[in-house]
Amino acid sequence: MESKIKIKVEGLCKVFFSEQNEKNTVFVNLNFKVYEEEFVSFIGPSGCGKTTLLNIIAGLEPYTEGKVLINGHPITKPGADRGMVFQEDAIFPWRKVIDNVEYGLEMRKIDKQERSLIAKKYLELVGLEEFANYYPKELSGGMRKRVAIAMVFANNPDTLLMDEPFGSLDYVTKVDLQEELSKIWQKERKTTLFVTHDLEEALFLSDRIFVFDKNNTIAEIIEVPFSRPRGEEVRNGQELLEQKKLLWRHFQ
Amino acid sequence: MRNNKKTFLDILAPVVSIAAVFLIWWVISLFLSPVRLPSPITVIQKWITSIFYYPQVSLYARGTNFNLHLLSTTRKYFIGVTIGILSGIAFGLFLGWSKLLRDFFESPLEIIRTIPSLAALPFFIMWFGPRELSQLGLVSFYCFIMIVINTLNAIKSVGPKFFRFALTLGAIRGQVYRTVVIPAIIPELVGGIRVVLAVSWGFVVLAEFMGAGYGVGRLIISFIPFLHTVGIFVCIFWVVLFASVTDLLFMQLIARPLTIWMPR
Amino acid sequence: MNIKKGFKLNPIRIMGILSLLIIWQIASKIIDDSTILPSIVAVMKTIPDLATFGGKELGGFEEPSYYGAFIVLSRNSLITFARLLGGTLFGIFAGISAALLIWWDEVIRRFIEPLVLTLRNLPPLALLPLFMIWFGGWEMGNILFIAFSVGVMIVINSVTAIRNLPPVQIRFAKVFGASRGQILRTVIIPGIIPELAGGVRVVLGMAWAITLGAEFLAVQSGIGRILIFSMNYLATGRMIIILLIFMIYAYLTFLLFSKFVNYLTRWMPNRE
Repeated sequence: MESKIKIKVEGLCKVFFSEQNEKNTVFVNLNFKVYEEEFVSFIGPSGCGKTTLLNIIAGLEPYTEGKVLINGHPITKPGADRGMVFQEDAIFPWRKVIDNVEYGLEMRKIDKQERSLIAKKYLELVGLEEFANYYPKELSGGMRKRVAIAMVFANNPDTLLMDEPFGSLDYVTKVDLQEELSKIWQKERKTTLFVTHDLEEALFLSDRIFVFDKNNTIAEIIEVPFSRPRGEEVRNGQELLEQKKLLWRHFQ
Repeated sequence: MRNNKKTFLDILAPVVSIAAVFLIWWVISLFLSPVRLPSPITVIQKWITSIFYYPQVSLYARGTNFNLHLLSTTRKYFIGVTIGILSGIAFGLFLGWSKLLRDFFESPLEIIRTIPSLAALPFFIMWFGPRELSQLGLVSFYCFIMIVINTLNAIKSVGPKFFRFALTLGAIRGQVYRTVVIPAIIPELVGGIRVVLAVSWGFVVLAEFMGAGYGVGRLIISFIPFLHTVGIFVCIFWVVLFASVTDLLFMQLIARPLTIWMPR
Repeated sequence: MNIKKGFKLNPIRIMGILSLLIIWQIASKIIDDSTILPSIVAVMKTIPDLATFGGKELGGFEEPSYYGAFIVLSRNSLITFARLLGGTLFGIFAGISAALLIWWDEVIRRFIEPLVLTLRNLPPLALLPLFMIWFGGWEMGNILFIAFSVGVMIVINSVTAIRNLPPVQIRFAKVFGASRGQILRTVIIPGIIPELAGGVRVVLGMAWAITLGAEFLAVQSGIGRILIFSMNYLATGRMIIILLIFMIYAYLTFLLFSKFVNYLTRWMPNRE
């Protein structure tokens, strides 16, 4: 069955001028499509390209040329329909955990009782219902990341954008969060764009992987063959290892 | 990590050092005339009686004890800092809202900021006379300028990641200002206010040096020609007490509760 | 770490400054009372009157003149600067030394630190009359007063700065076998400069305020004195001139100090 196209990028060009007035080209003629309820990862060498792409789709950064369409409409500014989880810790330290999770709903003027219920539900989903009345400073890095995820999911965006969300966490926490994300995503399938450096992570979570090269063009699009739901067996399985080897070759 | 629990020595040391200071003071005062350095015992005695009966006050200024003057200074201080700080925050937030406004007002502000606020005092005295209004005006002016700049700087240093996050959660500009900018600047604002509160005591006293009416500064000035150094020390003790109490109250009642969420 | 980022002049900013001047001009016409607010031109015209400051004994001229004004202003500026710089440098030196001493010796820290913290609540301006009684008209008294006020501030800042140094750096130096003195010289002192530099603006502002305060009350010379002198004669024009001069001086001292500090911290990675 032909899935609907959620995000379409055509001929995207992004150029910016640095402080010394040097011309920096980020993308030239980037084209791709992402389908509804698809989990897509962007991997590739370090450089600001992938983050910039995500920011453009989020509406946080302008682009120079080309078309970026979501549901057929051009993206002009940020909005609650595209939720984003950043690599940095951006939850609001001055709000308690529960107030953080309610933030998006509060902005949309949803009344207090309903907000509360929704927020509690998502806190439970990430396993933090006990910490509802704590301040972020009392939580660990991994827990704060889970709050961010709960915040974004509670807002029920159409599309999910994640920019190396687990990048700064230790291995065990990372694996933990990957599995939680996978579980939540199973329940509430959203079109997801996920930027990462971690091949394992990309293979574990995605349906397709876009491999970027150092010129910030898409070198390869890989279909991930594992069936869902994916659990521990997939992560530790032989197939994943094989796929990783294949992927790794692209980086040579 | 430092052990936060106060050891016996931690409590003992400040007491010992303050006692040592008084001791050294007392010893030195034995060798110097009371005009140069009055004995700490005399000073403390006079300090305690200053709110009951202090004859020298009526000889040099108005009243028979310090009370009128203490009240006058305190009144000018509190009205001055309240007006100055509140209007400073309001104006700072107003400017912070639009880049256009900010750019427009920032240059005059930077210019005014380079001048020491004290330089405004002669102008106030000339325009309004040496009355208490000028003294109050100086305090308000100083607080206003400092707090506006403090607020603007605080707004500038709010991490852009918070803006971005709020926007992707569906907040619009006004909401972002209210729910992100204002809470985020509170710590820096509190720091600035604390400094301004302390310095303003100096300003109000100095303004009283140059002006007329009641006030601790007036007393100090009136004691000088009579070389009544004890009285000057008593006045200083009062000011230190006021400043310490103000600082303590501010930190406990306002600063701590507002910044309870801050990681240490 | 650049203390003073370039104050970028864009059109709106220029408009801001210009509008200040325009408002001044308009207001002076409306108020039409040169005691309250003389027009810009009128202010410029009062410059020569500055020459009469001080009377014969203190180097003043009998007749107003631009030349005389220039001499008077220069002489008094030098006096003010001497006070300011003398006091400030002395205060900085004393303050940092005291802070280092507090670090050096645990005993000293235990006993001196609480005192220093009490001093924080002692407004130096209130102490001016005390210094006046102690030192009479002796110039050194003013410099000591400025030094004391600046010193107290610097000590507090330095102690905090030392405390904020990453302990790993000191441990690292110890691993190399550095003696206490060497650690002091090579780790602590360079390490606290950036944080102190951040407070340069505040310290300089305080130094200027103290100097001005002293000149208001305790002395007979200096730019601040001219301001008071003009106030007594309700000579608003002259007061405004002095104000403008102050602005230029304050800006210059700040610029100089920032350049100096930027030179000292040239090894630091730039904060974005």
